[in-house]
Formats: sequence, structure tokens, C-alpha cells
Amino acid sequence: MYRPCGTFDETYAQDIAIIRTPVHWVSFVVGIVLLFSLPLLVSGKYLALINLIGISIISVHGLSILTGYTGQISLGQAAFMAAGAYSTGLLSVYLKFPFWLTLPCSGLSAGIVGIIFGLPSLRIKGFYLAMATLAAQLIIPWLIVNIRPDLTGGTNTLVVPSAKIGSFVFNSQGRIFYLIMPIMILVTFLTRNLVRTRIGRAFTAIRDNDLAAEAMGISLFRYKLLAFFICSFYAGIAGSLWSYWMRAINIDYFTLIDSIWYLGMVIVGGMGSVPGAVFGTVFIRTLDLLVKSIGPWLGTVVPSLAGVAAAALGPLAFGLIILVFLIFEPRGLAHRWEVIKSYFRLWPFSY
Amino acid sequence: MKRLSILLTAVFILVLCLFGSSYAKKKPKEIILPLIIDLSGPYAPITAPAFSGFSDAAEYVNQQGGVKGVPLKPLIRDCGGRVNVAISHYMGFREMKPKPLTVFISVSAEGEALRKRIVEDNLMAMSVPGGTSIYPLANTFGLYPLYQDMFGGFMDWVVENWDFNKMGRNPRIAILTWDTTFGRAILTPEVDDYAKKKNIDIIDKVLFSIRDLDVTTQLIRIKMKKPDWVYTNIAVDGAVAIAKSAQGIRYKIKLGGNTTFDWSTIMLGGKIMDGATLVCTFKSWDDAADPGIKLITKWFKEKKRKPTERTLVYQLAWANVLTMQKVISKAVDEVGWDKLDGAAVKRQMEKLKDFSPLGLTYYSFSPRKHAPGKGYIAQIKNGKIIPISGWRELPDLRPAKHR
Repeated sequence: MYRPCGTFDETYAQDIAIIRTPVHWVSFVVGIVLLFSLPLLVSGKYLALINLIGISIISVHGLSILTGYTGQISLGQAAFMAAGAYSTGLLSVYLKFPFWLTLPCSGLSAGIVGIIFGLPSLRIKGFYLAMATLAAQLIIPWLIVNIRPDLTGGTNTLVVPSAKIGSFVFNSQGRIFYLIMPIMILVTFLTRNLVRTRIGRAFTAIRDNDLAAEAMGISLFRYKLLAFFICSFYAGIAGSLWSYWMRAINIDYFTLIDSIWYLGMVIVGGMGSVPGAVFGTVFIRTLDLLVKSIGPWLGTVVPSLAGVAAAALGPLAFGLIILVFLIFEPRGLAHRWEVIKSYFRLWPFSY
Repeated sequence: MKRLSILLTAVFILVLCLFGSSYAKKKPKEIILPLIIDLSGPYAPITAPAFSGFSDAAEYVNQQGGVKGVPLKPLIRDCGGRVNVAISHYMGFREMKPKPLTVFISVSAEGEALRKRIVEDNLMAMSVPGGTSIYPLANTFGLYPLYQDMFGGFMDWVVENWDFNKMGRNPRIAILTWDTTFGRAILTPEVDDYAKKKNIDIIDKVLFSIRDLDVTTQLIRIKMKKPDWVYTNIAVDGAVAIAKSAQGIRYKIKLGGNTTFDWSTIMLGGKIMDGATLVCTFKSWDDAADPGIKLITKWFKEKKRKPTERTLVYQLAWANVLTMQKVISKAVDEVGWDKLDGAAVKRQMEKLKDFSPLGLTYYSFSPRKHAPGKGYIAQIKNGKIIPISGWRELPDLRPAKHR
């Protein structure tokens, strides 16, 4: 990795540090202060978007570990989130579990579900594995809707109580922000560390060549299932936070389209990159809200286009931007970020 | 003495100005009507004409003086059928100054998700009456009768036209519907009980995805059970998928549907939709002599709206704006501008009895009933929706525990 001129690692601790230089530390502290000041600075509408981005980042980190680092394609991320969300719903509504207990339980239940659907990965890969995980996207919602609709609400919405610590209730966008963001930061930190450990290197080895990895002594059985577990665990945590954020769960919130978009966030951000997962999520979620504002605005400016314009222009703009983006930056936003950093590292004496 | 009278007059004028200006300050410049509509998502083929409907209706109402001289301003936001986007838009609405009184929601799942927040924010909402958006009772009112009530009305009509002695058996109905909150809204125990009470056999309940364009497999399964009617709680592309798939296997289907199975469905499906029997809750666009239809048709033409927007939802938007004008006016009469809030508007909604905006539909609500209950039976003939009954009360099939 490039270091600023004059920065040397003298100890192992410095060598493996995530935050390396004083400038990094200042940026980190300022960033954290700014992030946690957001509820005081932005309106509820944008705070809702930021909360959604936070939840999505957790889920996308999971998918990034599975797809970006381990090379296992999954089209069932939204279904794994549904498993986590409904675990939270059932535990908090019927068993009155507090949120700090439902959160890990939801992650675990989704993780176990993920392991079950990850089993085919031992025999199949590539597009065939994508089809197998697609089954999760079909089976999990069906089970939720049909097995015990009296508990899950079936296709109706299950109302979830707000998360609370003592008398502090996370019942507004500003309050739940302080629940979502620390977890998002923690998950990002864990992911960043995980990919540098033995486990992370095993994941990368499996992605690059699973036969060679096995020949080197990496247990495919163990690591592939571990990747599925971590991916689904994160999705479960994200699903749980989603249900506390929304205070309602409906199976319509966790569709195949959502799963595809989570995969899209990984691709747009940059496969196998922790910052990429963050960039991809921020980009797609913000763009989604932005294009949905174009249609009604255009309908007001040009009344003869009302309705039709909104229906057509939103998805058109969305698709076009993604298409153009992938043509010009196929390696994702993370790569662009690296290019920008490299430029400024040498600026104004680049060569 | 003269000086004193001048002084007193000046004080009187000053006091009058002060009171006058404070009163004027309390009267808003405009009343915002926040609308969360799916303009670009899976329900857009049904709900997108609401954009034009609300714009035209608000202009009409404002020409008539708005709410006691205060104009109504629709503020439309596209949620794309995504509940997370709907939440963002809702948060934007609730933080507006002055705070809106009402909110309109066009999709069942979003209505359900926002239900609790609407109560906390003391707003009054009008929503499509799917799932749990209306019951348990909160601040949300149905834009038309519950889906299960409309299905009940259909069952009433089937029994009225069924000769039990001649046929020697009960009429058989199969349900084929979307696997969504909207589609499954008729799959309730109350509907099953009502069918039994009416001696109707519900012989099958089959679901399909909202994105399916072919339901041949489902229809083959239904065909084997020989139903007299296939009822569907969906509209537009879903209903057309059923009709086309039936045509593909040469299965002469007798299709039943609710009020959302409207002109947008006919425009998409064409002649194959002929023969379908519907429980309608809004006037037929094809009833050209009706004064209400005449008025909105005039506006529709003047504004050069597209033929594809001549649907139920355009009418529904008019009915909604006119209802808001009525109830907000009454709320102002009751509490004045200074104390006007969502609760006051809700109280007036609960007092509405057979209110018929332009004669397009009938709204009756009460503190225990937040969905209207009138409809009529119509059939599609030559691409037109022709009423075959007068307005009638639909059975009340809301969840038993909420009666």
C-alpha cells in the first residue's frame, strides 16, 4: 500500500493499523463527529435516507464478503434480511425480547438459514449457485407467509415495537440513527479486519481458485459455509434494524428485486472492497430517491407529461446512470476513490 | 373631549388591526395535500393517473374558492412501490411548516407501514383499504370499500342470479389472485364464513406473482375443479394475464373482480376482458350523461390528459380532493383556523354520511367504521363498463374483532 512520504512502519502494530497517520486520525475523528451531528443538521426526510443507507451498508458488507471476497454469487440477500426481520418481529412481539437480545438472535437465525442455503455451494458454483440462492429468495418468503400466518401476519404487515434502552425509545429517525450508525461502523470495522485475517485470506484463495485453495489445505466445506454464515448474519442484523427502523415488517419489503439491487451495490461500489460496499450503497440509495423526485417535478413543470413522465423517467434515468457508470468505471467506485487518492497524494508534483 | 374621542378612535382602530392581523396570520396561505403515490413501480399502471387527477381536482376546487378562500395544493411524491422511499417522503411531509393535516397513500403495504406513524403525528390519512391499513382502527380511512366487502357484494350478486333448485348445487367460485398484500386481502376467515352463509363453495385459492404474465398452470388446476366463477382481487396486468392465459388454453372463463379492475384493465386487455363482472364503487366513465362524469370529462379534455389516464384512480383523486375540501371546511367551522389539526379533520371524516363528491361515489364513515360500504354491479361489454344494478350496501366483512 502507498504511504505518504516520510511515513514508516516501525512495529507490527503500525503495520497492521487501519488508521495509520495523524491525518487519518484527524479525518476519522472529524468524520465521526460530523456523522453523529447529522441528526442536528439534516431534515427527517434525508435522515430516513441516511438510516436506510446505514442498514443497507451492513447487508452489503455481508454480501461483499460472500460475493466479492469468496466469489460465491448470492441472489438471496433480501430473503436473509427477511429471516432476520421476522425473527425480530416474532421475538419482540410475542416473547417481548428487548432489542439488544433480538438483534444477535436475529443475526444468528438468519446465519443458520444462510448455512442451509449455502450447502449447495459445495457442489456447484457460478451461475448454478446463483440459481440455488435464488431458491432462498422464493422459499423463505413462502415459508414466512404460509407456515404460521397467524404469527407472521402472512402478507399483512406485522407491527414491531420500537427498540428502547431503559426509558429511551428509538422512535424517531433522529433517535434510531444513534442505534443504526454505531452498528454500521462496528460492522464495517469487523469486515475490514476480517478480510485481513486467515479467514479473509482463505476466502480470497477460494475466490481465486478453489481447487488450488483446497490443495493448500483450506477446507472448502468450512470456509464456504462460514462465508454464507457471515453474509447471512450481517443480513439478519440489517433485517432486524430494518424492522426497528420501519416499526413494521411486510414480506413485500424483501423481494428478488431488492436482492438484485444489493448485488448491484456490491458491483457498483467495487467487488471485494470494504469502502466499495459503502460507496455503492450510498450511490444507489441516493440515486433511487433522486430519480423518484424527477418524475413528479417534471409533471409539475410540463403538466401534459404528468404521471407518464414519472412512470417512465425514473426507472429510465436510474438504468441509464448505472449503465453509463459500469461502462466507464467497471471496477467500481472504490477504484475511482483509489485513483483520486493517488492523484492527491502526489499533487501538485504528480509524474 | 375632541382629543379624547380621537384618541379612543385611534386605540380602537389599533386594537382592531392587531386582532385582525393575528387572525389573518392563523389562516394559512394554502393547505398542502401530501400524496405518496406509486408512479414508477409495480402499481404504477394502476395508480399513476392520480397525478393528473389530483392536479385537476385541486384546480377545480380552488376555482370554487378552495377551503374558505384558502387554496388546496397537492404535493405529489413518487414512492415507486418501495416502502423505504415512502417513509422518506413521509418524513419530509411531517416536518413541513405548517404541518399538513392529511396524507394520501396509494399502496396497501405502505399504508400499513405508515399507519402507526400517522397516529403519532396526529394526521388523517386516506389509503387503499388493503390488509391492516384500516383495521385495527386508527387515523386511516378507506378510499373505497374493503376488498373483502366487494367480494361479499360479488357473492351476493352470484346468489341472486343462481337458481339453486334448477342447478341442484351451490355455485362454485375459485379465487385466483396476486401473492401480495393487495391480492390476498380477500383471503380472510370472514370471507369464508360469508361464502358458507350464502351457500357458495370456494373451491380453490390460487396465488401468482405480481410479475407473472402467464398463469396457465394455475388456470389448469382451477379448470379441473370446474368453478362457475373465477374471482380475482387484482387489476390491470394481473387481470389481463388471467384472461389471456384462459384464452390460450381455450378455457371460457367467467371472471369476477373489484373496483380496481377498471378502464386501465380494459385498455390493456381489449376485447378479451368482455364479460367480466365487477363490483364497482365509482361511477362508470361510460355513463356520459351523468353530471359528475360530464364535469370531469370536460376537465380531462381541457387539460389534454392521455386516454390511458381515464381510469378509476383519476376519479378517485377527484373524490379525495372534494372530500378533503368538505371535511377541512367543516373542521374549520368547528375549531377555527388556529386549532385546525389532523384530529379535527378526522372527527369530521367520521361524521360523513352518504357524502357523494360530484356523485362519483359514496362516502359514509363512523368512529367504528373507516371504510365506505356502497357499490354496484357492472359488466364489461364491448370495452365499456355497464352497470347492471343500482347502488347497494355491500356486506360488512371487516375482521370480526374490529366490529
